[in-house]
Amino acid sequence: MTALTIADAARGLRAGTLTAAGLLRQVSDQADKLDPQLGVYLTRFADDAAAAAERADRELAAGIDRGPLHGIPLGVKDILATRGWVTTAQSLVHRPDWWLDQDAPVVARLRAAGAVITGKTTTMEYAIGLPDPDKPFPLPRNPWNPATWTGGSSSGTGAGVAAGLFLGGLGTDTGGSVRIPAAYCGITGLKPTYGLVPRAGCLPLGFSLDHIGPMAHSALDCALMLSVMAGHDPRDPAARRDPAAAPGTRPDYAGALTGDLSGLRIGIERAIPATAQWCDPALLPALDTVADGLAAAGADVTEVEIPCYRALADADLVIMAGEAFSFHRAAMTERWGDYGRYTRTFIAQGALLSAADYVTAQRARRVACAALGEVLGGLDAIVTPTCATGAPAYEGLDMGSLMTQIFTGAFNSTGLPALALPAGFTAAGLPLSVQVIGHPLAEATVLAIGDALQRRTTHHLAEPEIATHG
Amino acid sequence: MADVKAAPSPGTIEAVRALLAGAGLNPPEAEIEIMAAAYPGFRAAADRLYPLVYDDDPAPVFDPAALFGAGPDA
Repeated sequence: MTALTIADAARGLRAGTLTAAGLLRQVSDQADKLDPQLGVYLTRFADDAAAAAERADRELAAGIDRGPLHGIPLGVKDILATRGWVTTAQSLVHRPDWWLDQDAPVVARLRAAGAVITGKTTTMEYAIGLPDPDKPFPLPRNPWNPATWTGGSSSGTGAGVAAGLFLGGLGTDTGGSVRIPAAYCGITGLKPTYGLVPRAGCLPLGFSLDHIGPMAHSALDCALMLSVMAGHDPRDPAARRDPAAAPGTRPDYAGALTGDLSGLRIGIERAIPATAQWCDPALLPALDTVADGLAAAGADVTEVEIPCYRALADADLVIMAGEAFSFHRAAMTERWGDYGRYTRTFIAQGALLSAADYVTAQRARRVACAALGEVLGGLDAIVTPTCATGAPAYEGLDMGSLMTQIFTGAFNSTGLPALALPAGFTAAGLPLSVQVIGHPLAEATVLAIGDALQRRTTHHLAEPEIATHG
Repeated sequence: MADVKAAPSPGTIEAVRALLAGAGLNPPEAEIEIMAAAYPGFRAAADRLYPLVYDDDPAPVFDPAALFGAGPDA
């Protein structure tokens, strides 16, 4: 079986071979069957979703077409506000009335585009830490092998797309939280340029590193979602105002996906994986295959090394800990035991760093970005692995080891768009992934590169056995 | 990051306990040891950044006009 993409479903809805209500029934049946095992949802919006699907069918029948997301079931990570539904942040600490009466702008935009929001998906508490069996929340498991982890923190969205519980969804990314679960779950996930998607109504982790991004099977699906999600909102002070981010003047993300990469110069980065404790033996051959695919699509492929990679990753860690502790300190001093053990012991690292450490990390971030800019200036994009291995086993998960096996945080420090996409499988059948990093606001290019690769491969359409056989 | 399974030294544990207490946090001893095991990794990440900024401008950008709006003479 191959996965149903948003683009395919949108065609089916218009051709009359699918209805939004039927599509919702299909994904709801899948959730009934698999959610107890996979821990995708914190809350399901059964009645609201059914009403939205019926409305979508009525509107489409009446000739009202809100675009490619009209009638498409999507999941939302439970640190984003959804009107009338408590956002838990998968935490006992979070105030239940937070943003209760309104949608986050990004959720409102999806609803206005006709999307059917099916529910709120699992995360790590406040988007940091590890799954915590001591707290009363589902533990997300990877559809490719439920003995392995989904990655995080957009865990439920990653697993839910992979297993067919919805066709796409929202994640957030401060050190890789869209791209890591996308990588481990074998789907595609985009961290857009910092500020392109407004973060009002999204609980912060590290406010100068936080991004909201789409997760779906394909780069095309991510482009369709981003076209709705992007654009200024005054409630996020970091939301971009440039014409390149605004509806009407920004690039046509989906229209840019032609499959032809002629004229693009793309750097392949092979040094970053050497920073890991261990890499899967299939990873670098997968990167070679990606390089061949890029060349076959017409790109000029060259070898590069990212300068200051370590500094960018270090800055992400220090800034994240400092900003997270700034947000949580007041609650943490009162309610230490209510936080999960992995979340509280990570965030409290921010108490161990000094003000000078934080300021230095912000300064170093700028210096390192300038050095990277020298290399990126001669290129359109850089491609490097997303993670060193396939999904790690649940048994024995630990934060310290995990942090050496992921290559994502450096690109949160840069604020550059980064698209993670499937690139093959380990010998054990777990997905591997590469990420495409581009210039600021060059999402169209980054997505076009991902799409060109996906036109030549089927990794992104592969479904885990559990999705077809339960 | 340091391997969180590595045993932290007594000095590191004491330093971490004091820094946490200074921030109003008094977690159980077992969790202080977990944080002390991870702390050298965070400390090293922060320390590695200082040489990089030695010759850089001293502060992040601050723009009062962006916060307050430009004055009448602008």
